[in-house]
Amino acid sequence: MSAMSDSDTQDPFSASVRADSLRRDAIADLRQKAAGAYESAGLPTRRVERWKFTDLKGLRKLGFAQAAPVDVAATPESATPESATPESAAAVDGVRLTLVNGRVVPALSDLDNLPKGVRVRTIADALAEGDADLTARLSVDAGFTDAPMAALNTAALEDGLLIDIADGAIVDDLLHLVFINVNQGTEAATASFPRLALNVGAAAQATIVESHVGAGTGPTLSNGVSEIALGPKASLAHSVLQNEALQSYHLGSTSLSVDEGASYNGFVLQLGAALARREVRAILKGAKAEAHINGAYLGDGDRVVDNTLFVDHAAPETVSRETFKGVLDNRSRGVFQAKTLVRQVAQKTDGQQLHKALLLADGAEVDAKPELEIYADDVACAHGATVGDLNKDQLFYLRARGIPEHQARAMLIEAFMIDSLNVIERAQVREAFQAALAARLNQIEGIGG
Amino acid sequence: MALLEIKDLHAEVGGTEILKGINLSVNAGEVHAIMGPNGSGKSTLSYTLAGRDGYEPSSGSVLYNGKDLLAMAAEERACEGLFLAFQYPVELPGVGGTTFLKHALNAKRKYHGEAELDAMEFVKALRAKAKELNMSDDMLKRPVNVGFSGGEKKRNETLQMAVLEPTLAVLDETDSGLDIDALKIVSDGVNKLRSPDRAFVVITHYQRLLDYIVPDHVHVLSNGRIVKSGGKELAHELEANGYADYVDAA
Repeated sequence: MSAMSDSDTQDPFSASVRADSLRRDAIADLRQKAAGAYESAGLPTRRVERWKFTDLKGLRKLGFAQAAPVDVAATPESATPESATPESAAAVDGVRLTLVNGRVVPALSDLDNLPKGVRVRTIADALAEGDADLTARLSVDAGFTDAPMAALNTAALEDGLLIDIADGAIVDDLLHLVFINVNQGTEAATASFPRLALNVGAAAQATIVESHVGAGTGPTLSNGVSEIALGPKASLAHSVLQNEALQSYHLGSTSLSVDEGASYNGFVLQLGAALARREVRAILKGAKAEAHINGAYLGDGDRVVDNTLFVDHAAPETVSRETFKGVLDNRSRGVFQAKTLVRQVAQKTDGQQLHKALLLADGAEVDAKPELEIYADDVACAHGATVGDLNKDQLFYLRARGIPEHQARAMLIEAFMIDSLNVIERAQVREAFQAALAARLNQIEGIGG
Repeated sequence: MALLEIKDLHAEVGGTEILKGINLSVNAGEVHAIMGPNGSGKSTLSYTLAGRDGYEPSSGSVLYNGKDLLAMAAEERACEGLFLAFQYPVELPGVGGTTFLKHALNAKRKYHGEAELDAMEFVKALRAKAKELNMSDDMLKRPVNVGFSGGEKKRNETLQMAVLEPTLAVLDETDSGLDIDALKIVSDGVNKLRSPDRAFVVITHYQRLLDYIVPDHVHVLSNGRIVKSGGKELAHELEANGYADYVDAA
């Protein structure tokens, strides 16, 4: 191989992005633009406002190798979605769609057993068929501006899910999207680029659960993009469990477009990964559109968990709710960056941001930056952030009833987090998330019971 | 030998001496009332006995069942059978009442080398206790004390006490924040728990509670010392004349 320039050695993706830009397939234009967007911006640094608190230095050192296709033939015929789902995934009953390293594995998916009103295609199939609609369905950076990681996903795109919920469809069965990331035996991180394009039709209702999990054999990088659009009066419950292996990198960019009278009800529980960063960009483009983007996260060791949100109120009487709770132990770090923009047209907007963190150790850190930018004059917006330790009165109350201190601490931490899970309406999803949280808390030394 | 033997107990809060030489002997089966004006050290005494951080015994001794109580951690004291009914029971959002009490009972059972109860066994035992006290166990389905009225909180303390079956119960101003109906319900519960093996230390500002929970002994606490002891008639005397004599005496 010829000598690399400085930028090549610093940027583990530039060579592959250059190759991606030359591919001639159904989304060649998109790839080329995305590659250009990535190359001009490069790997994000802390100089970029939205990455102010999280850097990818570790990733530069680690390097990466793009995941090879999974050999479906090697998957035992007996493998079923049930048997092949790791325990770290959410324990929910639903129609399963499994992606291994960003690629849909039909043998582990219920593609032939979809509920009425639900259409699923794989991006790999659409690419193979040369589907020209694909370019209309996907975008360079999912509407994020200055978003090299989203662009990187587009440039490197191999597969993913195109899901359409038909107008008026009331889908009772939940769809469970299981993203499994496995290192393919390389020292560098095995990189995958999962993609989801989801349209929820007018007045349709659906529930989607995502589980992001790893097999834990070596470093992985998952750099996903989701583009979600809700039609007028549509309703989507979207619960995401990030329970990746502890040596993995998990990056996600989710863009939401919410039309008139539609309601998005999202929750993310971030429990795993060495570095996890999830950026959500929501545009409330129709009157009375609502976006509830809530979450909880747990940090221990040297882990970094970043939730960065942007909500754009672009129509009157729109509602946004962002409540996040974090628990940080050891030397871990939590980031909550939330910006809410209320445009002049968006009168009677109701927007609330709240971040609450528990810091359990002196070395733990939280960076919270809730931000409101308001151009309308008749709005009800509020933001807040609190940081604290466990409540001493509560600890004493538990101990005065005979409960040992370490167990009392674990109970209070669980209580602090579980409270926030109550916004998940569907009982089986809420219970599955509670169970995942309890299992994770039990693993943490010093606070577990 | 007395169940609880407090000898010349001094205790500090934030470097200030609040208890200045308490002497008290409580036998099994007895109910002792400790009365005193605000600031006399009543709550400090209860927290010092329960082992709360920040309430530091500086001298003296407390023997409980013949063991050095002050050497034990708060949870150990509880497992040994000491129960503090809080003046202000703490709200625990996110902690279910049943879960809380199950953990508490099982911690005690584990401490004594007994098998822990599973959820079914526990709920059965709980229902039986609630029935004994004529109390509904509905409030245990809610998070501990969250949104409870003053009366509900004190009833909850009483129910916890019944389940945990302490040997020595310290009731810290249990009557505060209670209307007369709630006071009656809580007192009835406490009276049902009176037994020859169990002692109560009832800390109160007002005599009113002692109409319902009738003590064997009454002590007046003033400025960190017990300045007078007597029978239940002492409480009536205090109600009539107030604490002025004792504040001056101390």
